[in-house]
Amino acid sequence: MAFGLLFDAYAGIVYRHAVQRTGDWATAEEVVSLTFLEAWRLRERLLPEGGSPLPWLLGIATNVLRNMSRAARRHREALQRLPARPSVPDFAGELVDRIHDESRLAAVRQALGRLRRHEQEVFVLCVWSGLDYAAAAEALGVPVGTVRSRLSRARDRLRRFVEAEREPAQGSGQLNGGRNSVARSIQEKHR
Amino acid sequence: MNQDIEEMARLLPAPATTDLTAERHRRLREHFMQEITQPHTATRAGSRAAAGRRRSRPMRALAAGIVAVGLAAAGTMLALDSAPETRPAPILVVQQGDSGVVRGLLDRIALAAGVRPAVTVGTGQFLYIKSNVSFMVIEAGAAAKVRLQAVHPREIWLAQDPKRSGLLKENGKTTTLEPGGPTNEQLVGALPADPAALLAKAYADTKGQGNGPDQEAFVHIGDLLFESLPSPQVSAALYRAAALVPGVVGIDDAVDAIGRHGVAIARTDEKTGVRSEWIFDPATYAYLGQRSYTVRDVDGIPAGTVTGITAVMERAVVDRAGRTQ
Repeated sequence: MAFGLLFDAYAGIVYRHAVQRTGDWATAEEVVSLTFLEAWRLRERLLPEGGSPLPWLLGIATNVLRNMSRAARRHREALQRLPARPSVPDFAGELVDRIHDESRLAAVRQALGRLRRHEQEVFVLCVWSGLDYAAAAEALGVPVGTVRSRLSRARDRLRRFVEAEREPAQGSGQLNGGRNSVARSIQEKHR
Repeated sequence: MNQDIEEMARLLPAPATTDLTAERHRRLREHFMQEITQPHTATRAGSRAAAGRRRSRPMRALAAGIVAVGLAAAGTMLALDSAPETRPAPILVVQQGDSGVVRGLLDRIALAAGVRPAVTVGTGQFLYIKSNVSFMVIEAGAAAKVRLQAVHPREIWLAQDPKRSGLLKENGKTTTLEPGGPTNEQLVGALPADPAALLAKAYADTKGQGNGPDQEAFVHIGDLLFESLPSPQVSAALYRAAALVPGVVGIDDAVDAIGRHGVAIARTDEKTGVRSEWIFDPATYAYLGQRSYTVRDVDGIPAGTVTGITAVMERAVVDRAGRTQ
């Protein structure tokens, strides 16, 4: 099994998934490293035969996200050798963009945070990462029926939040957690 | 099921996030591969020191062989999962490269490059490159199966102002490239027109990086030639510098992504077993594109398996990202 190739093909997707779950770029990089190190450690027991390895990898990533400290302990030395991220660039333009992204992410994650953890996991796998029910079930190691019921609970909860938040003036039918106003005020501070 | 998913995507859309940059992908991959192949290493410090100097350019991909090839695939993987427009990777007969022809061939290429009209790019502008590309996609399992994407258009706008974002359009997906990349002026504006000096600089600028000094120097020179806009004099000198890198060979007949035949300059990355070719028109010596393939069995992938192939269709200087003129 070519693990370098596996990394090339899927590191980007695992990273995006981790950013969405953690809202933090540096943590997301650690999640990527830990996920692939765990994949390597578990390769003989768990490597799927044929088909896309994506559910398997996102399942490992989900476990890493559930218990970062345990995974980090297991691979402590490897993490110490992780290449340092470059420091934040010093020109204002990129900083504003980055803060803008961060505040949006924070607002979306706040909305996501209103779901229970099991619901968050299936929501992000199925809705944001595009796994179908069977793949999400494989990733999480639960029956398909469980994925379906968690997802439908997540949907009901989100609907209720939207109903509760909907004001006569906007009514966009979308949970935005006020992210636009947050982003704007931060941008203005930096101008 | 899809209705439910669509409804939920409307209720709480995925936040737009910045993708893992080519640079960070490479660094994290290097780290991962070192951890699983050699539990303890002493090379870390050196490559970490070099990190600050490293450029990240998405097109670096192909030249870097498998590493980069997968990178390009990563961005499109989800789309491909739903609409797998792939074909089994073709397997070539690996030609014996000829190191004896390198100097003469690169000299002719340099002469042609030296008399092309100079094109300049201003600070607020973008270097636009349109190409047709096809990269490797891995279907993993007990035995990795390699497939190639269908040849498809790829357009990239490289910002010449470090505060502005570039743009990449590929497979119906538009990606904003992080600002802060080096400008053309910084990359090639102050380069000497002397091949030996250029070669020394290529080694110095890539010291401690990647899969060995010669390979890194070769890839670096390719980056400068094909992802920026050097003056005709500097282009010519860069080609002559490439001729001085050990391990570079000439290939009689290579084919780009749209079937154009040409002659190629190539080098094999000994660590990955992947040879990268720069392909040129055999009559005009104009740059056509690149091709990469394994030259030996790599992790069960047979020698000659094509891992990426491109054809440059257009290079231009434009005023705005997303515009083509």
